[in-house]
Amino acid sequence: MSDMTRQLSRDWSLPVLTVRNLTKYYKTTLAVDNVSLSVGDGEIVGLLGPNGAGKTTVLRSITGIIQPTAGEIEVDGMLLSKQERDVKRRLAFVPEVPNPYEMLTVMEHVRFIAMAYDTLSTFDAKCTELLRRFELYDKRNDLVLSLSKGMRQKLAIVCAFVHNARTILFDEPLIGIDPKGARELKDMVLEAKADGCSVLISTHMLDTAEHLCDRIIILSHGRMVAEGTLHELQERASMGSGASLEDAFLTLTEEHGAGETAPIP
Amino acid sequence: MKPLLYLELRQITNSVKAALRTPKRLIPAVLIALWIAFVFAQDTLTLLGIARPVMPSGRHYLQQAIPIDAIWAVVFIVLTITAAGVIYTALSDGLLIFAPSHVDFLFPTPVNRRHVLAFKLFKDYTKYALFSGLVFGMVGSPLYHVLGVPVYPDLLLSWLGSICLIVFVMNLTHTLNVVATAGPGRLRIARVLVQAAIFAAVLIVAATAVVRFAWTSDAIESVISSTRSSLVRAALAPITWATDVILAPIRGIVNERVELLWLAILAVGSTFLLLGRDEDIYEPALGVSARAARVRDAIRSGDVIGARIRAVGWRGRGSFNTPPVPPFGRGASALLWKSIVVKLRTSGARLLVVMCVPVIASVIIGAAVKLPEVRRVVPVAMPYVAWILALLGQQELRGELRLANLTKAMPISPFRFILVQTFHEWLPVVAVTMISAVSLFVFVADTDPAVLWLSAVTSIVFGFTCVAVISIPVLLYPDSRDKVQDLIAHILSFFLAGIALVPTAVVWLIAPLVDIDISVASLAVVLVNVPIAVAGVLVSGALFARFDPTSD
Repeated sequence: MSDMTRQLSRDWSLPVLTVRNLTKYYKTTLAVDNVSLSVGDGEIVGLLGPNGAGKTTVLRSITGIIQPTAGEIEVDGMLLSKQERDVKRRLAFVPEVPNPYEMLTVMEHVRFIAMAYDTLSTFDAKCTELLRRFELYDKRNDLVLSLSKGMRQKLAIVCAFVHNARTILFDEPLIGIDPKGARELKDMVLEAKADGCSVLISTHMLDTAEHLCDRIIILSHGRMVAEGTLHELQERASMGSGASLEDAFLTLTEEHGAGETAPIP
Repeated sequence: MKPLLYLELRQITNSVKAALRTPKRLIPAVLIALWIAFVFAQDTLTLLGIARPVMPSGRHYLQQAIPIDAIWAVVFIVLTITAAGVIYTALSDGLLIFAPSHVDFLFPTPVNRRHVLAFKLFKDYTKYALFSGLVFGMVGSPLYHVLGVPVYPDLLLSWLGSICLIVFVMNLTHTLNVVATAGPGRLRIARVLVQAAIFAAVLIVAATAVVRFAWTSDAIESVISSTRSSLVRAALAPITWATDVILAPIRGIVNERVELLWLAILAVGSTFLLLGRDEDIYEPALGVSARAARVRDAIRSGDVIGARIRAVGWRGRGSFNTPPVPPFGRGASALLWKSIVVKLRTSGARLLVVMCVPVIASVIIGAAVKLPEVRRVVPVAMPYVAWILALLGQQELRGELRLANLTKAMPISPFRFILVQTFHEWLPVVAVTMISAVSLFVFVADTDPAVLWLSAVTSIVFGFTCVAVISIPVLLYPDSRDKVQDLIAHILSFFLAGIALVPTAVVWLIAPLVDIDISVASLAVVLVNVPIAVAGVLVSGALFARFDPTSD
């Protein structure tokens, strides 16, 4: 990777985001079981797993949309349960299938997000730059109602970058985006990383994860089944260095495929 | 609060701008606004003493025809059942429904949760107040003009009372929901408490009614008087106050200001109680918000069947072991079987309630309506009910047309498809008519059998004709998302139903005057309707043959 030097200069052992023993029950269904993970300063971590593995639940817990049944979430040394608003100021979240406010214009939507994060002072320049990069500038005065699915996804990404978050969480960010938009997003993620921003990406696109992420976490049935660099995952799956992330992923998740949901305590 | 204010103001402004820029939206909006303005102008004229009622002593006649205690008891029971039903939802999904946009874009932001909740409550309660104000205005105006019921201050008092009750019940439901769903242990306790409270309320009303029955031997009278007993009034005090205040215009008493004050205290107090809770408000709202959005999207797209299917999913019914009706038929009749099974699975409970309404209405009319001349002619309402049910069936055809790309690919002729659809939508009309006829015959003593028979025959035959002819505007204007198409389709439906209504009404009304035999009159109604129904099916079939399922 082109920014390898910058990566090495950062100390990933100092985590910006730490999740400790996260457990989440939906009524009597165990969605996430004692998951612990961390994302270091300027690190890109991929969160992989089959459907229903608990990836979205982990991301929603970190953003405070849902509350963990047990466990702690810490961002920049602050606990989400104690300093929720301060923690949220440092985070940005791109949902899987975003439902933006249809009766706002594109510009108003981004402005609303900037107001919610209290970052209006840098809004104008930042918003214009982001809208141009994601080819939404010409649509800035159009209602969100008129945007296509891919454009709505781009708008959600613009909203995530507009308030200079320390950690950005992506839930399947590349679904529905055209190749140019996908390339732009990947470039922006790498630029954000270079600026010291930490990124946690949940994705099914294993080739993207392989090329973009510094570290991979694999979830299956709500449990963390593996964590490490591609090389470490290959070793863990007893595969050679020629094996792809896809091979390692399938092997590791199949090993834990028989895991059963634990009953409610 | 500032971002929330910005969000709401921009959304409202953009919605108004969008409506003004699009004639398709502007025309219906202006028509509706003019209608509302006309009704409220009439109300204002009454306030200024310019307008005068048609029947200044109409309220006196109303009270003679239906005892006020009976009306009070019915309203009290309906409010109690509705409030209990709403509060009970707190134990499952609750009613704290946010837009999916809020879940995706507002919940992750650092905006204070209490501000989000306060803003949501303010918006919801403003909507309820405006909607109930519209209903009261629409109902109040004719009430004044026909019965001489004063709009101000009686109706104003009534409206405020209803808002306070809605706010109190909704706050109670939200509070219970966020508290109960904060942990499985809490949910169990809340369930026991709510069930015990509802059981206690039912027990108190039932026990009081049984005691009264022992004295009076009159079941209806016992239920009516039990709702007015001190014990029931005390146990269900908020409902009692609300019933007193809501019925103030009809009762002609304006001394319910104390009751209104109590209701206002409950509404404000419960709001502060809810806003003071520390439990999470976001998570309990996630599931219900997503499901509500799916149902709303289906309704907006005119897919009533899709909306019902999503509502079934909402209730957690993911699988059924056996169909409610065993499979029958081939080709078009198999399609009929499919429609019946889907209807029973998605609307079985609703249909059961619809079937119970005529029985309950007949019992109430039999017991509460005191004027024999009114009771004798009650069956004439049956064709009107059939017409309403036929109009509701129109939505079913719209829903079915959403699947036209499948049905048109089947080896079924368009005419058979329309015939099956008409028959399927007509079945509830027949069922309701038959249940109504039997109920009126059994429970309403003075019903004229000849009027009852002719009304039943007319309802069944006229109902079929209506269903058949109003398929035509649905096929001509299938896109219910387009408000103009929707409006035109409805106007055309009234007109086409009128083609069948006019000759039917002529036969129906002339028959008793010229004293012809009831079977001859029935035959005349059938003969008048059959050609119109056949024409309706043929035209609809021809339109369905040309219907393009991809053009919506």
